[in-house]
Amino acid sequence: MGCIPAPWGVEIMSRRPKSSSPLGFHECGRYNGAQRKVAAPNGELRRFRSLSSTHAKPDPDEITQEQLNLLLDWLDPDREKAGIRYEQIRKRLIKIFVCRASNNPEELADKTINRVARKLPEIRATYVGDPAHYFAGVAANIMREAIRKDRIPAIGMPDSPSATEDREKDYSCLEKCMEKLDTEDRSLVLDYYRLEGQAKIDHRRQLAEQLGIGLNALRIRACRIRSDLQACMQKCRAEGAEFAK
Amino acid sequence: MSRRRRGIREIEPPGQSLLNEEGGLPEVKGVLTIMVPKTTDAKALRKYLLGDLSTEDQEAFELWLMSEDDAYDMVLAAEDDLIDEFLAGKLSVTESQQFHNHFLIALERQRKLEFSRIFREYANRKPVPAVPTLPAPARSFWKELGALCRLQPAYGAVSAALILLMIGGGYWSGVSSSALRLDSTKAALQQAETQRHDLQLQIDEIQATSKQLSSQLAQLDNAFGDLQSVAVSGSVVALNLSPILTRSSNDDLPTAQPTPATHLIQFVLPLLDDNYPAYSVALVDGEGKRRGPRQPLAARTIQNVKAIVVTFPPESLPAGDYSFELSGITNSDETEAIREYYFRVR
Repeated sequence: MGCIPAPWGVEIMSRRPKSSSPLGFHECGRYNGAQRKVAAPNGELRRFRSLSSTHAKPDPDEITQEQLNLLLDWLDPDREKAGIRYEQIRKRLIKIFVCRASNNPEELADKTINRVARKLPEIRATYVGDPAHYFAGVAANIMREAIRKDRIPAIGMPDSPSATEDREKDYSCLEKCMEKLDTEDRSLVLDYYRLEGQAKIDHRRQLAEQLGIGLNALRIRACRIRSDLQACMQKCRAEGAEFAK
Repeated sequence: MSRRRRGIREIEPPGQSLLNEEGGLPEVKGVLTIMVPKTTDAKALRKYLLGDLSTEDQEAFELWLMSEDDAYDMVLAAEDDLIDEFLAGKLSVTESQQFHNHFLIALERQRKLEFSRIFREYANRKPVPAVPTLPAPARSFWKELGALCRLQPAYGAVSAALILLMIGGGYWSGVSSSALRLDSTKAALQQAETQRHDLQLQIDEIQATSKQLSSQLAQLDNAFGDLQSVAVSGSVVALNLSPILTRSSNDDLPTAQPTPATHLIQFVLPLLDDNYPAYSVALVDGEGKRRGPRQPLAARTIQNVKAIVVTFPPESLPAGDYSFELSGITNSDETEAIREYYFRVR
């Protein structure tokens, strides 16, 4: 008894022993800190963290499948849209904790989500407004708790650039990543981040006019290309020789 | 209890604090009116990132970040700007301290700084290609004329008269040229034999020029082949490959000799002509086995020569004979084999 049907297909990708079933809900075990991937009807995988089964003794930082289902229903009655909303909220919570100088933002974001999920049966009937605001309020409380518990001392980033050999690898990776961009994005990202001071401001204004978009839209577009490049470069560094093949 | 902050619009935060039960912090009930920052307020956003806002304003920012569609992207862009200013040495002493002691605590930001430093150097080295602009809608002569006539009816009457004159003139010209054409055809027939002779001479001349060009091209390719194992920066070995060498050109094969200090081998594959929007290169070992997938690449101009540049870490190229299979990718995404470039690694 007590086996919880997953909302969609479920895959555990966690610290659980390898012998366990990949379909974790059939085992009714406690997956402390487990990270689940949930396959939505369109085949897309979504991750949910820190689930426990209903009959096990609840850990304060875990939620059950029922609690997760309730949370998703609250975010959106359509399960696919709820999954997207969940990811958006988690991403933004992580950013909030990063901005609050936390060095474990993902953990605190998951803790926030789990706390909201546990509190939901009490507040759902009376709560009015965007659920995201509730998450923000709980995140602020979680942050206060974290500060009281263990204030992490600031660790400055060394200013010196990395070793020459790493630099060469980095440039090579960046070159490859730039080549993967389409011509327009490549030109834009190089053009956007050149010049300094007033010349840069004037140049960006000119660039926005040239592309027929607003300055803010241009800024966001350049930032997204830069983020993509960073992700590509990290992947290149991690994969090393494999990436070059 | 109701708290009012500098209000722009009302939003509803959590109805009650969870920490009352679990953490013991004061309970907050009721609907709060909370300042949602203007997204264009770059100074406030910068202060938020540097941890220089009051707790109230910080929480207001977080509500904005949670609820506005563009907010997340705005924060990311502001982070980039702040990092760029730090790297350009434009932060004040206080800001620099906040940058180190607050902004950089998260690993995510440290990675971002590291990437930005490399990207900045890269962008400064690279010449900027022109950004393609939105194409202006094509306007034909007739559309322009129509628009002018709609605005100024008098131009319409004048234009109509001009068009009639042009049609009339064209007809007269056609009749008279037909008569003239009969005479000129006779003359052309008489000259045909002479022209045929001249054409034959021109063909001979073109063939001779073509042979000369082929010879120059071969010299150019040989020159590329001679530039073997050129050290670019100590840890990068550059090798220029020749498009005319074959596997049997045993002793002439360009050879890369990586040292323990070599981190990258760069291959330059010169193109005899640049007829494709993109290219792909596959590495093939001495046994004819393809190593790794094809890499899609764009042609680059190196010292006025169009070429494809590929790089490999030396550990992926043990000593032996190799070749690159170069293919062109057409606009319809079809791949057409072009040629092979042979080389050796020692």
